[in-house]
Amino acid sequence: QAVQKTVRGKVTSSDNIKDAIPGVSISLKGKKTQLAITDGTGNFVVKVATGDVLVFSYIGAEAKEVTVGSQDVINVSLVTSINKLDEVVVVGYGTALRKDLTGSVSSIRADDIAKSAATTFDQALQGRVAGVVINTNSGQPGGGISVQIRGVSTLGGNQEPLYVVDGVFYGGDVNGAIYTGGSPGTNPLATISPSDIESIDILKDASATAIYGSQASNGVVIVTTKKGKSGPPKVSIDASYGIQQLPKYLPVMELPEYAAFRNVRDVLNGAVPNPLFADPSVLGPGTNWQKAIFGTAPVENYNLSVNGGDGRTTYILNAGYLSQDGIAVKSDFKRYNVRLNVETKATTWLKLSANISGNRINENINNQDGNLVQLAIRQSPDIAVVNPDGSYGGPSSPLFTLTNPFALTEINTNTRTRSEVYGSAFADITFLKDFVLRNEIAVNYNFGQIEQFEPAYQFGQFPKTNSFGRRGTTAYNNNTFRTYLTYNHTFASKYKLNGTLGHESRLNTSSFVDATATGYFQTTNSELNLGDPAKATSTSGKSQQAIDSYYGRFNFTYNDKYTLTSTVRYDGSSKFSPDNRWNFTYAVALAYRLKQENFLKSVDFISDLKLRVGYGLVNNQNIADYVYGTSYRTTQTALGLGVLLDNVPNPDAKWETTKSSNVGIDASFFKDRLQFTVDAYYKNTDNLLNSLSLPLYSGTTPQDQFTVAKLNAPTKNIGSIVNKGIEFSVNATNIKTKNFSWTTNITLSRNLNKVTSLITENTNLPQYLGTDIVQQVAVGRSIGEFYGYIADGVFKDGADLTNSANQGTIGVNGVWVGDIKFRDINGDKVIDSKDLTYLGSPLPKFQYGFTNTFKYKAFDLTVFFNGNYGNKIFNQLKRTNEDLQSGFGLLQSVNDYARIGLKDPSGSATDINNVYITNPNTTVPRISTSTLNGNNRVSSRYIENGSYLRLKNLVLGYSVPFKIVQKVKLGYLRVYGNVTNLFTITDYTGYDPEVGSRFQNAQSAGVDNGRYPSSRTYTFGIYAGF
Amino acid sequence: KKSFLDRTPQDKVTLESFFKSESDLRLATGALYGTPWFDFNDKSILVLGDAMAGNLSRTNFVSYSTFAVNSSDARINEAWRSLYKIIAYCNLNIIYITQNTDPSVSAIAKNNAIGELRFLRGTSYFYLVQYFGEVPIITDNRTLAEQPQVNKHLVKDVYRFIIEDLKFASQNLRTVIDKGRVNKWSAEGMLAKIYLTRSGLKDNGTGTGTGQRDVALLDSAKKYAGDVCNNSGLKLLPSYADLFKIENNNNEESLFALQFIASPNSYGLGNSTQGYYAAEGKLTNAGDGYGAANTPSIDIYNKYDVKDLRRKATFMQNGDFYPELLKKDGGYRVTDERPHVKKYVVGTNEDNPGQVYSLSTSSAAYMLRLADVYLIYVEAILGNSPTTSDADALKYYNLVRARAGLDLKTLPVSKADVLVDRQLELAIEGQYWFDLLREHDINPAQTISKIGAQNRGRLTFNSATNVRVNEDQFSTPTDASFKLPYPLADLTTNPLLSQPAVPYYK
Repeated sequence: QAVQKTVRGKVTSSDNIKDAIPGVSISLKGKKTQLAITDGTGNFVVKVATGDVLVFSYIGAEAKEVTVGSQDVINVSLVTSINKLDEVVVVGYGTALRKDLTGSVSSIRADDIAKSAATTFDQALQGRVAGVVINTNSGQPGGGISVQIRGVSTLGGNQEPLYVVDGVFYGGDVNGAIYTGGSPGTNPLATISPSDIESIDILKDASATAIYGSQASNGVVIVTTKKGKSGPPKVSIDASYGIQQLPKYLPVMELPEYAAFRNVRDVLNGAVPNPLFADPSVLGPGTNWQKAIFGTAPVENYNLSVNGGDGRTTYILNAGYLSQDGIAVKSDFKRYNVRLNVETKATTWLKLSANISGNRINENINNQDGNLVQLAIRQSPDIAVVNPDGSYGGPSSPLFTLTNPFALTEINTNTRTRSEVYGSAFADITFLKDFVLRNEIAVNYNFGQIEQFEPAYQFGQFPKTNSFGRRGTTAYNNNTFRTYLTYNHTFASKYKLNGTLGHESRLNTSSFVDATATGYFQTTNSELNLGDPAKATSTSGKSQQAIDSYYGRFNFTYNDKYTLTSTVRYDGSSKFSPDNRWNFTYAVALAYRLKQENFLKSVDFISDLKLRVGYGLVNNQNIADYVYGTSYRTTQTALGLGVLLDNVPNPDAKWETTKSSNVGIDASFFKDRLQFTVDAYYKNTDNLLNSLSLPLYSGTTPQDQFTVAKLNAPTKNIGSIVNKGIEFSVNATNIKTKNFSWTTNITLSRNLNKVTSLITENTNLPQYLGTDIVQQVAVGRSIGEFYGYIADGVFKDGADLTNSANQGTIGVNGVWVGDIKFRDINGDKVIDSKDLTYLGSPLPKFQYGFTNTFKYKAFDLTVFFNGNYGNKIFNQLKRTNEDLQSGFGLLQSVNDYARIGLKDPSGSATDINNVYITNPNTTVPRISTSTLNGNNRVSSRYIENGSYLRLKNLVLGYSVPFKIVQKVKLGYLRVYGNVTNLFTITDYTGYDPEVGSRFQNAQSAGVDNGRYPSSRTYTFGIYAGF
Repeated sequence: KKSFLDRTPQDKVTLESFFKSESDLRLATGALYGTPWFDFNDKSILVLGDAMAGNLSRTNFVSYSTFAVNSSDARINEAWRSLYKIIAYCNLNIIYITQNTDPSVSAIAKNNAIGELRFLRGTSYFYLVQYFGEVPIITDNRTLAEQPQVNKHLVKDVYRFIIEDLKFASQNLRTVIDKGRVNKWSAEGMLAKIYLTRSGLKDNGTGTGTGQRDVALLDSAKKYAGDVCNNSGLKLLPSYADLFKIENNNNEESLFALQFIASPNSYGLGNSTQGYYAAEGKLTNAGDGYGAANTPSIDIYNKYDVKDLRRKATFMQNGDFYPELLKKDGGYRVTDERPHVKKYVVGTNEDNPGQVYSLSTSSAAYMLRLADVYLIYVEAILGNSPTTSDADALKYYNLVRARAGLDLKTLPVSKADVLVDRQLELAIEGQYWFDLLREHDINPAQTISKIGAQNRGRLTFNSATNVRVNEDQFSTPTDASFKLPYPLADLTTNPLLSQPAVPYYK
């Protein structure tokens, strides 16, 4: 007997219990009439009878049926993430339903981000999106990253995608490599709190990116922040606390080993051994400088969010605080951010919206890349960090010695402060049915401050006689105005038409002031007025870039089966001379949903099947300003002011163009339990724009490299690159029962990069490390392949030496047994520049990520692995610290130096027939006073396999049951523990195989020059809300 | 009208708005005497010019003193790229000044500026051709963007190009002294040196090997050197040691010197020589003074007469006293068993307020001075004879000797003597290698054996007894040693450097 009664309940999302779902429609099975709809907090009340079957349905979620029994409360959890067809995807100047997409777009949602416990959003992306490669260029908190979408398709300094955050072009022309006067570049995207992000949509192929035409050739990343939902205020809190540590110390010599080595070397070199090293066995382990400068460091992250609204107006207010200390002492990063997003339907025809965010970042980069980390590996173990009397330790001689890296972190100051306001506001006017006119302004104002102080000091005998202070300010303004008209109409319920037509203009202005002082008379205060006014310097600079654009997009869908998208954009850029200023972008793409065909409609196991094809052309203008013209800059000279030519001009520089084709299949099976996407693409970039790396006799230096009295090389369209590749992503729900579920997500990308032409056939573009070429860009090869000699171990004996190709004069002070043997590639019996060859590519053959998520009742466990396969790393740290002539600390591997034995112990050590190597398989050369062999020239000796597999994230969470949570007046509560970088399986001997690139430039990728290593982090956190 | 997309730089001056006055021309040329030369002056010039030539002992720079330099050597790379950087700046400025100078600027001023640039360019090529032999002649660096790979050119064409540059300079530079900049006398002095060097070469670029030089070219050398000696009115600075003090930068004797400005923080503005050659940190008190390993060779030491004032001004030895160094301690008394370099060692910032920082002093670095031209003149007069009784030769040779505190020579003047004085007069100025090269061109076997006999070992004075002990070391070059290898970087990027040279003048 059916009993009429009132049932209450709450509908939440199965993936993110934070999210109660408002607007869920509740009806009786088999009837169209809606009984009720959930309110802003997901609650509902219905009058039903027992035995009725309630259907909970919601766009973007699987409908759920519940039979009414004796209970009065029905809490329902809807699975929201599985069916992606109705997911709304942000496509640039508009949105689209995923089922209508014709281009290749990958998306990441708030709950994916929450899972990764990331401090910057790029960390949340890493390894999770097929075709997107993210490398951390520095493990420093907030340190630089490089993001590549579908390979490297440009040679210029900037290969990063375009970021669009709520319509704001983020960071500007060089992705906010906002001048901070320091190296490495800090991460401009670090100002965005991952907790604020609702979704990240990554546009990968030309048909998706063409709407952004002018800067889209590296792909586009669109970040959308969270918006309020109507209903009473909802509060959510995220908090986490973590501990970070260095996963690995490089094995350097301990003091007894070091002393023994130095004794041997001094005897061989005829020098007087250090009397303190007379008996190495009595020496303690000495100083491990890495342990002095690396330690355990906390990271804290708090976010508070309130959102709500009524039928007309919604709002969300977020506030966050992040404090992360670096694992290297005296490096830290603090972020404060507040964001307010408000949207109101002012009238039936007018919608207004504003998103405003204010951020402040304080960074202490005292202990930064290429600086103290390298020093800590190099400094000798016989020097104390701190002497017994409390003073800082230092070497016993002022010359040919190194300073105390730990002491420098203590006495120096190097901070950066950034204050940023950015946001957008728009008015949507529906002036006619189906027509919406949007007027939008998007701005980004960023102000930076630099404070640096290095007092004079003396550590031991090591002096620094000149104090140095610096103050700098930077200002960056980006203003974008856009107006676009959207038309949306469905004819005869079959023909869906969508068109967009618009104009956009954008102006960036950046400026800086930089001042320095020296000759401070004290060490406490560092303001410049305390230095010597006669030696103070000041300078300032200013630059502007402008882009003006017209664009249109046309979308047509027939019967949910065919969708055609075509896009055109016309851009003008201030980077080019008036003759080459304007350029077209276009794309066309077609999607075909086979599932809508009758022959598939009845095939149950296929839930959806869609084929996408697209073709388009996009452009790139990311080069330095005014390279088409000739300019002069001032310089100090002994003859007074001087004016130095700044660049070699190229008035003919024009837009770089990338033509790309994409074919993709989206398929899902077994009621979407298995989802599969595969995309294959071919990208051909022509007119590559680059500041040329010319031979030295050109007298010029590329824009991104330092030299004294630099004459900037011409920027030129120099050739073509092809990238072709294939990307897979798979989402599978392997097991799904009431209490247990297991889902797997796999991404796999393979990209082949090949330079197909350069100015002339034989042109190679070298990449220097000091005066040595380590990499080259050459036709027929991928970008930045390593280039040098092949090292074939050491000369084992006299016969080996005399029978091998000539490497120079044979002799104890020339080339000798125990020196590195280089391979005679051309077989002319002489080792010279003709024997240089390619030594491998820093680009991985493929990259992968796989995530397994297990849920058991209230527990969830996420295990995320990622990795690279098939790339090489040039280990410059090894080259520096395995150099037997070095007067400093050395790697332990040096212990295996080539030991020279005498066949006849009473014979001569200078007789080539009497010497041999007792450890002939070593790769480390002999100890010598002076070898003319160039043992540490660029060679395969320093090339290592960069493949790795890393347990990037391990998260264990527990969602406290609602019954308990309710008692403390909370809506939900989740606690979790997370370990990042738990372990890495790799053959690479440096700190971290994820090396990134020195100048955020693929031409210099894969050289490990002592970057700040990434940390292992243990985090504990909660999510709560009501 | 200016459009939204016209965004010319605001912190630089564009070519279109530059070269409006003579002062603009001077700003552009003045920038090319200093920091663009830094990488050359930093280490290369003395390593190539003095260590390789045997003025320094073999303790340091071994690959140079044993003639085993290979193409990956950093000093070669630095010399090459720095000299070509000067050439690039000169090339483009010559083009721009020629095309863009405002008509209101006088032709004399414009040609004087181009004269300065052609002097600097020709001199850079002169260094390159002496070090490397056949080198590419580049006159418009903009074309390298289209065609980065270029052929190297025949030695005779490189010299012809150099001579054309220096002739233009000598005809268009003003005669008045313009402190720190080159004038007509600078150009004539350099031209004399170029002619003298060229006179020992055959058109195929190799030396005559006959002991003989081309008489017509010798006459040109003599003519230009003689003009400087007899008609410039310039005089030697009375004291040799004073030449290398900062307060005497750009004195009357200086015909061409690199201009540096000491800077505590800006790398590349100052002269770094003191930092690398001062024997100990105390001497500079700037955190540098890396010169302990740089000691004179026994060869040069044996050539100093006891009266020769140049020894103490060039090398410091145990017991020497320098009142100008470490003034606050009352001067610097050398207590070191090994002699070290003194030239360009000027002391601390306190000794020279505002002029000394780490690897950065304000010392102008001589590239050509009057005494050098005097000796060139004498060498040109000597020509193909071992001795001369020319009165001018005796006069100018003795002017140099008199200043050095030496006894005056009487007629006839012998070439062998002059060469010894050139070595001593110009030691640690990067010049001796070129003297050896010039001799090798005409007398290869004799020069090789002369170098082979140079004692490149170091010497020690016993600290108690002051008895001198020699550690003998010898190295014999081959004919191939007289040309340095091209830097590996450019051999790699430009295979044409390994191909035969081509003519520049068709």
